[in-house]
Amino acid sequence: MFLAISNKSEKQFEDQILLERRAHDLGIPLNELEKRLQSDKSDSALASVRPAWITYRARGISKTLVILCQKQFRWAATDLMRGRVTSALGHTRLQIESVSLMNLFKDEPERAHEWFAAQDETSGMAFFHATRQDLEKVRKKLHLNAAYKRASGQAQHVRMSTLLFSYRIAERSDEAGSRLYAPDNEFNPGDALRYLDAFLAFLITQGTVFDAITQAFEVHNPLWRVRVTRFRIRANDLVKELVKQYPDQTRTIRVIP
Amino acid sequence: MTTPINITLRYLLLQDRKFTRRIDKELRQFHPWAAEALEEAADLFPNVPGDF
Repeated sequence: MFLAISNKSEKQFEDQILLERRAHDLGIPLNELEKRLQSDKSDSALASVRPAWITYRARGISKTLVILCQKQFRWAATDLMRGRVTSALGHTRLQIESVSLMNLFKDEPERAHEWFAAQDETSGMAFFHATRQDLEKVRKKLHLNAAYKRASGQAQHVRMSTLLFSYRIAERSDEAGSRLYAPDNEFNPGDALRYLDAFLAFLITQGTVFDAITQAFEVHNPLWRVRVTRFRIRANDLVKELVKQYPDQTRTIRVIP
Repeated sequence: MTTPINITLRYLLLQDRKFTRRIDKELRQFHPWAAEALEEAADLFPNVPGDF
């Protein structure tokens, strides 16, 4: 079921009307106007509508990031259900990057155009270095920096913490002899607590991701807010339940949040 | 042709199914909503372009 979260914002309507009027005045369709705005930055006939176009297009680019964020969620969720916690964390990190970019683009719409144009390795790295510090500030503002760092440390780097999450190095023996290996599955039926901790951390991060989407698009739909708030409360209740069910262990391990 | 890598792949896919069932059971035992939470989260994602 999909929930309509927002109609176009007032600002977006204003920008669209401005662009449509200019296109009408010039006797060209809107998409033709957009092509001209994109290809010729010095076109004086379009100077009056360029600021509106920059924010209008930035919002369109951010919608693309919502689609990416959905895919990153699907991959994380399905990997979690397959017991691949490290892999799920990697996708969560990308989700956080997606919603951070959306929020950066809301405040600095020109950045969205730069992001869109960065389609090769060199320009991609240049964009990364140019926005790195700003994106960290955005993550902190969205309360997603700790989750981002945790996901980076565990899923994007080769560290002992990654190996520890596999719980064990197992020994496998067959006709070729015995060898050590790290099991693919990170769900240990004898120690469900660590898996549940990671699962709940994922749910709580999702609640914050929904908030970040809400902020990026200035969503005011009260029904959407009620549903997101209810989701966050239920996820937090599960953390309390975890502490209740594992009182001794949760004293010694870090429980999210 | 069945190559060793194919055998490993098939084993992993079977293991995935087995563990998915086991994890679902574990989540339900922990709390009934835990097993529903991912679907509820999926429902909360806005639809593009319809929701904008």
